Amino acid sequence: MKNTILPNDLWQEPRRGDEKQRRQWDLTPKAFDQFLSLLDLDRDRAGESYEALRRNLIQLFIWRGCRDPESHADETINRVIRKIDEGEEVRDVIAYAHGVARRLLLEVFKKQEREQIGIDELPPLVAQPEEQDDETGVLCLRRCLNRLPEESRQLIVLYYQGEKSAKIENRKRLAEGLSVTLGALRYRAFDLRQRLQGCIERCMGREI
Amino acid sequence: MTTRSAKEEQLMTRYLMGAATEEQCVQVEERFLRDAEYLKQLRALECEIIDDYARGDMQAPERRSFERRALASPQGREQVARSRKLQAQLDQMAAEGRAATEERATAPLISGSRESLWKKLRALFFAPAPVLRYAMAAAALLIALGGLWLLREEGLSQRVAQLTAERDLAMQSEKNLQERFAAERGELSSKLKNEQRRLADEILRNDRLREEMRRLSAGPSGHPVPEGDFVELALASGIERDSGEPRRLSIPMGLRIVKLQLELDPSVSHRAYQVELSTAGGAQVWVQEGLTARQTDWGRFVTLMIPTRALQAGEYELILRGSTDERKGEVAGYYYFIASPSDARKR
Repeated sequence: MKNTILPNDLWQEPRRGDEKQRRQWDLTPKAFDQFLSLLDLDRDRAGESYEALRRNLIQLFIWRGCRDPESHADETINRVIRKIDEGEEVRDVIAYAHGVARRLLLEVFKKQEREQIGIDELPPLVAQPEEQDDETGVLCLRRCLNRLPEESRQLIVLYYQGEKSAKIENRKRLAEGLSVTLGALRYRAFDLRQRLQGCIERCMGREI
Repeated sequence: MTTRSAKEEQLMTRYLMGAATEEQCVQVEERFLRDAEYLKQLRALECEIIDDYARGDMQAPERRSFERRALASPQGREQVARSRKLQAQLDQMAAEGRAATEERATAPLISGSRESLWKKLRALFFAPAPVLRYAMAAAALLIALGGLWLLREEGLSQRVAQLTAERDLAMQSEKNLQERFAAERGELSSKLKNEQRRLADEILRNDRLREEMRRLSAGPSGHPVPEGDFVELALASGIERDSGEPRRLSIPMGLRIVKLQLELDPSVSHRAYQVELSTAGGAQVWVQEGLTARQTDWGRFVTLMIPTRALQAGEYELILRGSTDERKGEVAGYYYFIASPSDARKR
């Protein structure tokens, strides 16, 4: 598969000795520096690339349905650093990290399959709609909407208006009115929504 | 502005719904790991999917696949919860401010560049400068052509029709919203009735259970009476509601066996059961497999016999796990009791 580097030893089932060796390896500042320099020669940009890679890996593990995306992302990066430290030639860190993440996914899926937790046993959502302080939430939403420019405010309100087919039709018209594609409209609404969400959370933090 | 083919959007949707093949997953991931813009498009699409999920607009198989993926991690659950929260707030605000929303819906989205052009033409037409009066005929012709150009190029009439349609749509949305609220009210009141019925059943069941417990505990001291070589105690799942603390199990001197009757929740049904008895400190003292439930007039019970020597004075937690053909080790109930053994027991 294009751009997917899957080193042979990463595909092998871990042997007892390997496991022991893996546990024995420790992340050193030198190894981490070496890894950063492969991301970018400029130290600051390398730091940003590292953060971006970690965030993206977390998102990957979330979208693949893993239960502990953060630790899987860290484990992926650790394995990549270890391989570099051991002298493996890595030309494309992102592609290599993706390969390692996929290998780790296989292990995670196997483990999750063994544990077989049903959906009913999963913990409840972090915040159930009925648990929240609706009044404060709506008050904050109103405040935050008022802070948006008029055009953006109208766009977000119209975008989320309607049900099912009416909503779809509504969005088509909106996209036509703005002479943009539906995808671009969605992108714009998402951008506004992110801003709105951040504003509401800050506002609710102050209000509650 | 980024444009995407329908095929590409389909691929992204399949990935986000957990329905993509491994090859398709790799394709999507290779791209979003490098392309922040693409990642944002995926997240925007995910937002829509979560909205559909939160509104109940998803078919059962899709919903299950989505839940398996999105609700698996705390981060995923938080993303869903945040989206649901905002959606609920938007819905509530829409319900509260219908009039304002309608007004907004009918207002033009794009500020009037066309209007300013028209003003320019009008200003030109009625310009007070005398030199322009000589050019009246030419200007009139220009205005007519300009008008036609405006109508054709900028689709002014189309815009008017569109705004009218948007207003109609907003009114229709309001109507839909009202209908939805009415339906939800009906649903809630029906749920309330069901809950009341369930509560009444629960009270009745509890009364029966208490009666059974009284029967089992009948004796001069109120403690369980030894029947032969064992002492018996009936336990309901969770902490006893009457006292708010676990039931006490007094183990009279000389007894070797404790017989525990674990009452099952009516919704619980398994082929076989296993119990794990631990102290309050978490030390496991007894495990037994291969137990089955039996039906009585007072409910379904799993009976467990434990040697008294396994019990010291103190609080115990008993976990009952059930197995079906498909699933094993499902928690069927938690039971608590406090053991009070006398010092000298048969060994």
